[in-house]
Amino acid sequence: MGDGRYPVSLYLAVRAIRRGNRGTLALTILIIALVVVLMNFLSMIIGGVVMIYNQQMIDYQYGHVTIEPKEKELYIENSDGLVRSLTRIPGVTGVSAHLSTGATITNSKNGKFQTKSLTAFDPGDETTVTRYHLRIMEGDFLSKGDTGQILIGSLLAGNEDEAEDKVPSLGGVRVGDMVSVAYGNGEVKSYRVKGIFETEGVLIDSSAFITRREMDSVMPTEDRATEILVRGTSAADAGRLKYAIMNYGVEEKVRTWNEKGKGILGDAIASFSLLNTIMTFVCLVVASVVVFIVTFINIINRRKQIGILKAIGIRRQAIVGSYLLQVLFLCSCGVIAGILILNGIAMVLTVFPLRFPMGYITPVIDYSGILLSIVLLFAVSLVSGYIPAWRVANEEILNAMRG
Amino acid sequence: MIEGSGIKKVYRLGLVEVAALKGVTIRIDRGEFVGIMGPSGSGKSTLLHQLGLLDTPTGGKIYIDGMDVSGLDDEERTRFRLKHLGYVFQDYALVSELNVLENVAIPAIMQGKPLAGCYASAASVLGKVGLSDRLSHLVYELSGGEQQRVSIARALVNSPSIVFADEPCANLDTENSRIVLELFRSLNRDLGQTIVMVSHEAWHREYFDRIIFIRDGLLDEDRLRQENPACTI
Repeated sequence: MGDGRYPVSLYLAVRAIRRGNRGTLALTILIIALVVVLMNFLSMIIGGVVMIYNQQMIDYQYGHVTIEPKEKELYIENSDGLVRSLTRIPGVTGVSAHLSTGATITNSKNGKFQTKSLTAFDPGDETTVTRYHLRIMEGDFLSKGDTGQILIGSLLAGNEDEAEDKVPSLGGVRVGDMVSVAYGNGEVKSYRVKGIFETEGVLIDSSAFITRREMDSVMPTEDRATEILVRGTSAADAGRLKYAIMNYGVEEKVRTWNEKGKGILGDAIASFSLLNTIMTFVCLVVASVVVFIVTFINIINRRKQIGILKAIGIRRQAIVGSYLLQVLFLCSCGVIAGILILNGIAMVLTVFPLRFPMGYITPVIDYSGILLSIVLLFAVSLVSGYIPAWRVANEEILNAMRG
Repeated sequence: MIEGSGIKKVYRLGLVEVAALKGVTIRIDRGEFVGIMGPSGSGKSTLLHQLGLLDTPTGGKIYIDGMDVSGLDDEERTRFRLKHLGYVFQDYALVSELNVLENVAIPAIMQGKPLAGCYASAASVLGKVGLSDRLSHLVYELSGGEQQRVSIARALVNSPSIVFADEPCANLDTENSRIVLELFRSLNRDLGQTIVMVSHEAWHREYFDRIIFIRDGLLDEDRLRQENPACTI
């Protein structure tokens, strides 16, 4: 500071920005802002997909923790006793045993059928773990004593006009309609549709449920379950809950929602992340090229001026520093504008969410990701600004002064 | 005092070598107003650039106030120029993004002096060159003569021991040339400022204490003896 190097850098940079070409300045800031948007937009959408997917896994498929049969066994034995024990574990807020079996469901009106996994549960227990009871679009949720009634997803119910269906359906089942269910043991039984639920998840809305009592009447379940869903206080606490359950002496397989869900959408998310990484890299290259060109043109136009400054005794570090400060200013403005644009896009997409197979996606801004992209952007920009500035500042004074 | 011995400068243009200075030995005393004159392409400006540390000679030695400056590295030369030398160029060489006051203040700011003090010094020097009313003007708002006076003010702001002027009147009309030359003469006479000026205008010689003639990269000794009978080279 004593030799005036840094104040002169700042002094020159401030005046170059203030008295330079406003149009070029605005355009450069806009380009950097768009780079920030591009670097973060896809991860914002991926974040939204992951968030809704995770929420659906917890709310409709796995709870926070899922208990599955031991290795090489098909059922969890003594499931009622296990459910009662699990409810006593601190941190457990709900437990529901599921018994699933393959079944062919046929629409009695038109004969259309679908082979699905039919799941039985105790409706009272189920409401403590999943959120189906909150997503009934037509009719009612199952009650504990219900027999001869079935709850089906909106996509399985489908539409009379097949063209409107997203997945194969029963061709327009409504509440009160009758469907027949053919079980694996050869039993065929008719059910009245009590309710139709809609969660926006394709897999989930293609499923069907009956009460445990109803399943017992068709095929003796003998206190068995194919899985037990456990809900805790929060998704983040699932790992601790898992170990609490294991420490309680449960010998069955215990897995968190996260461990269960990895396989299904994990590959898709990994692919999205790869795309995002490629896009980030391309954006960084674009940003560095833009900053390089802007700085280069700026410096070439001021080559003579740099020569003059050197001639009158301004150190080249001060000259280079002034260009780096200008780059920092451009980047800072670009980053701020980019974050504002990103937030604007996020707000628009929250009001008008994107529709994905698992439902409506609202973007999730990952601030740690934004921070990383900003750090990378500043780093490449400073390098891109430094190279041309250093080259010209190292030129012979008289050569530079010739312009 | 400036002493140059055997100063050579060879430019390489591809495979061709052009000797602009072929071994010039000169001495300029403190407080002198010296003109360097000669025909076009004789090496006047090249000599000034070597003496003013704007270029590095191919051979020979240069001493300023007893210090061998020919061996300084780029960083040291920059620092030396800032503290001890001032420059006035033919095309004024002002920074277009700075106003008049800022252009003059910038060498002082580079010395690390407080900004207010730098502005005060700059305003004072600008007052001496008659531009007190133009401090906040951008340079393109000034006439050629005014721009050259800003350039002179900038050269003086750090109170250098020597001011080098490379054809400062080349782009000026006679009236403005006279103003600039009078300014140099008063700085030299009143403040004892050493000034080394390149010129090819014959009528400028009336302002110089002494003239160094250059021809084909060498001192024109015949002309020197003729013009400066008492001079020892």
